[in-house]
Amino acid sequence: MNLLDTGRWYPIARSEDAPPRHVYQAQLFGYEFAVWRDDGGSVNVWENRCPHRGLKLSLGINTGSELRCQYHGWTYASGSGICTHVPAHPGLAEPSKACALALAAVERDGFIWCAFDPATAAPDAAIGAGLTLRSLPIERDAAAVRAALADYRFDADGRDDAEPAAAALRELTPQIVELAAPGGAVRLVFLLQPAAAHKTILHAVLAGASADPERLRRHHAQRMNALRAALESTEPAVPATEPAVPMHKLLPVRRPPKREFSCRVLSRRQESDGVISLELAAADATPLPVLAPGAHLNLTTPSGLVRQYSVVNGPAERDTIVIGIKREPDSRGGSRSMHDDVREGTLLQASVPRNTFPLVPSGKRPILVAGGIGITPLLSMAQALRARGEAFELHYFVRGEQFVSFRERLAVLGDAVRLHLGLDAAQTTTALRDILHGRPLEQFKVYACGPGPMLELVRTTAAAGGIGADDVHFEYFRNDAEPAPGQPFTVRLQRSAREFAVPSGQTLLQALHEQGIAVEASCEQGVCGSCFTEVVSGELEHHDLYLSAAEKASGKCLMPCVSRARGGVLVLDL
Amino acid sequence: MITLYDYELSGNCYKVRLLLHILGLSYQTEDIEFFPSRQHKSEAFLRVNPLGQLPALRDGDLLLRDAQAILVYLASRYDTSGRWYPLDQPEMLGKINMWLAFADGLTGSISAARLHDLFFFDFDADQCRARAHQLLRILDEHLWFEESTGGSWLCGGDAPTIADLACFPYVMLADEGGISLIDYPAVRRWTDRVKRIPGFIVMAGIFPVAPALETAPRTESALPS
Repeated sequence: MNLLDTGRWYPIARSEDAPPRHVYQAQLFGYEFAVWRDDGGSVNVWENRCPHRGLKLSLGINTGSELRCQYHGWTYASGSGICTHVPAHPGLAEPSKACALALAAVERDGFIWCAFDPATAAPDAAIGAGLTLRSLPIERDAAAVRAALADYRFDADGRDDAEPAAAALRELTPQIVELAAPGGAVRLVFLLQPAAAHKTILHAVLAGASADPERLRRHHAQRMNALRAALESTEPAVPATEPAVPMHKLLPVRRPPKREFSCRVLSRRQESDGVISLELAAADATPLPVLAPGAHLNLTTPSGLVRQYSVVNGPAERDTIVIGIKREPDSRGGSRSMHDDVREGTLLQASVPRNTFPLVPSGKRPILVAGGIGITPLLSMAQALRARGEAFELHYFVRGEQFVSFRERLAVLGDAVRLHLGLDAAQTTTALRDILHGRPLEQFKVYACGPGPMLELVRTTAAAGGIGADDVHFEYFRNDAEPAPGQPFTVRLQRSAREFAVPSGQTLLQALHEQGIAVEASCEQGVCGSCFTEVVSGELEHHDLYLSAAEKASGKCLMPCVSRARGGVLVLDL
Repeated sequence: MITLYDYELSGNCYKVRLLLHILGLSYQTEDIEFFPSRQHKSEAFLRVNPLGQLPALRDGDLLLRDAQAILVYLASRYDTSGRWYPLDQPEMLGKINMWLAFADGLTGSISAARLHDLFFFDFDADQCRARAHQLLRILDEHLWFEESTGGSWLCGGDAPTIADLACFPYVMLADEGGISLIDYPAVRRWTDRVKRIPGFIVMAGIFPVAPALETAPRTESALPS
């Protein structure tokens, strides 16, 4: 009987079982897994079950960065397993709390290992290098297979007609057995994967052999087939049974991926006149969150202010986070502090808010429009699209040559990048018309990030060109609209059972802070999403750029830094 | 005009549609409902194929039955690349016909188990499944050794042949016959490759796959400069 120890590492596949863009269907102790590699090379070992409706994820599509279920198209990100896309809700940045159930996974010695308990110490078994022989699933339990290995005979040079001598057997671990041919130079290492109660996958690596690899592989395939035939012709000692415990009960309670972490500045570069980039690494051993294109970080600057910076990372960059920072001439202290106070080695506190500017899989060709430092999220998108082999255009509007940032990354993108240098407002309008008009626009999606007036121009030009509002996505730096003084209203806090008035001219956030209610805030312009607050009831007046139209219409949330009630009573879930 | 006597849910009809699409041939279909009305046993259809089996194909005066025979005919007649059934390569023709016969074995095992599960045919499903697993073990070992020497396809060479198309449908539909492919990883990788053949089409139960990573980025620029 194969018994699971949740605190051990088990081989679940060979490295070559998970080639790019494939989903390997694996089995361990009767549990099924979808094992897949992203284009950055990282391997995921997930329960073979879509959290939505339970279809096997091994039937799904490995897009290179995500796994998409074949049934309703729910899509889960490599690494975190977070649901990134639900086709029925294409506009939502966080469409569902569903998360693929993942095991800890590492690759070593040509095998993919996994452990149910993520705290399990790294696997120490050294298989060593050698010739990969064909793995064989055998319909018997590991103990039966292990016993049969004592009688395995082979010729060190793979000669089928030679009379093989007995090999010396050594048990390295209960699952790893080594057979040394006479002389000891040629060693055959067997690895037993307990696939199910009645099924074992026998892996084998041959070290030290010098004969033709094809002959050696055929020699061992024939002998392992014979071993299997002999085993399967006997009565099984163990009946085939399904696992008694559902898999999720074996795994520790899954916490949502860590949203707050500290990081250290690995390097600082001057990217262009007024723009620096920082490369950030985790300050401790905890892995960095995987940030999808369009995602940003909330960073606490050395001055204590919290600021948002879009990540510039390409899809393969998992070990560090790269951000770009422009020194704002009218800085309120955030960008000045990042430029003046941050050096290599500086520790910074970071958190990951939800991605409000994701690449939406739509089959439509993305047109990316960047203005100035707005290049950062679009560069991340462009690199992801290039890695996936999808067509796109990146238009980068910038004041002059000396202000062009991230030149090396742009160079890799080749012809897809168009620079628009030193254009005034009228010329920018003309350029945008050239980009957005006179094409079959139902086949395009526009993503734009840059200064407010430029985004306004993109919005009106796209609308005039016939691109639907749903196909134009914006990321704002700041909200240039003057906040209206608004009507006075009453606030009732449902959970803390308090009530107070907010006069005209005071923001809801100011009133909350005045009352000593701790609500996290950052931009105070309705852009960053930090002060997101849930609403129980009330007639809302939204002035932010953060919430989607659907979220605003729901009446269930608001951004108190700029938004308020139209008089009456506002009941908050605080 | 080519006419295919077709049933949407038949893997053997699908393999003919697959080759027609890959070769870019225009054709029309005459739908013969296999289940529940059993039109393939109707008097009208027995005049097309006295064996009462799908598919059948009419091209001008020629009337053919048997999916494998139809693939041979279409490739020999219409494939201008000469790769799907290379008439000038006797070794390949031998191998292709070996695997065409193997495809018939898949019909007799996987397809039979599927007809039992899906359409309530009175077959010994356990026996069909056991036979299917025997065949899949042979197929997996063959494909594993092809891969180990850099090959991608059933008959070696650097391009797929009609043998790949003939074996593909019922391998892919095995799940519907209660036969899991979990123990045949080389077979599953091969099905990904078949799905990436230009002109590939799906049928109910056979899903598309992501494009290969090697695809060159399509970053053509269609912009005014």
